[in-house]
Amino acid sequence: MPLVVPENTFVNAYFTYYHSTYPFLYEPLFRSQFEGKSPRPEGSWPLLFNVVLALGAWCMGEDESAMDDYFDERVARLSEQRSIFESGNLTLVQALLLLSNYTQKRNRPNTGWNYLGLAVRMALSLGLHKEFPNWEISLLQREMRRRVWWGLFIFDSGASITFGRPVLLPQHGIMDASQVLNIEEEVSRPGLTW
Amino acid sequence: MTRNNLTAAEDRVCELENAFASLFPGTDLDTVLSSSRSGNLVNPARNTATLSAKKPPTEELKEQENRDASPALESLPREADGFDWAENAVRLSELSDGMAALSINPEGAGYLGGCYKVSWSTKSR
Repeated sequence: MPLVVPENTFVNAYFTYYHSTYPFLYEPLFRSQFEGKSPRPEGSWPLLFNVVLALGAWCMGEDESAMDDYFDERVARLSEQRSIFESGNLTLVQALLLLSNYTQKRNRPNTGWNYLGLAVRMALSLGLHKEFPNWEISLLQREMRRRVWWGLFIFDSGASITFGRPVLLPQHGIMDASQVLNIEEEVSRPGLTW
Repeated sequence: MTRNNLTAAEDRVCELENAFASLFPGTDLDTVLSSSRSGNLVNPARNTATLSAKKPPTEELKEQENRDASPALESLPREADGFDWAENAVRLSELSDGMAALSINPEGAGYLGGCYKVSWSTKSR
């Protein structure tokens, strides 16, 4: 089925309507990767990209809109591959987090619940719950880890409360990731990498 | 009949050992029993000299958490994506016992925190 709406439209919708409430991505980097100016994360990009498109389409759509179904179908084919269970990186956690939220909005709450579970496990395997004050990484990289962790924490604990299910998140003393900073995002620049 | 008596006796001993361990954590039961046989029963609550030198499990766990809070500098990966891992590629490895992925090399093996020691004050069965 040929697309009559350019993908850019959905990307813009995502950042206009969704991202401002749930800032789990770094917009300048995502756009730079989308435009081919920055290298895309291997393996995990297709999943993240299609979830972003699905959410963007969903934000734009009226009740009859089926545009996001198209991207959801692409996501379904991608997540059939075992790689989401057999690898771990920040992009995948972001994708799973967004995918969880999307499936809940599309009235599949238990699917969303499962995706959250996988996202939390993956996040722990990447140490996203830890601050590592001595780690020599950039402030941006550090801040993105915190954004994803705390976003995940809020979504997962929120889902547990909503569904009346146990909260399976680390105890307070185990997590030491700092709170997210309250700062403006930087403007887009070409050739952006981490 | 005899078998039932033995089982009941074993169950009771087990219950008593568990209660003792809960009441006097870190105390070695054998030490207390031999002190009793020699007519010099030591009260584990009072005499700290006969206690095995172990802190209560919860305190030791907290200390381990504090140690774990800041791992040594050299165990952190170089890059921000250094904790990334992928186990879906077919890899031939000398170690085939399934533990090959849990290497101490901080690149590509996921985040590994300090091991939590669990102090068992009852004897293992």
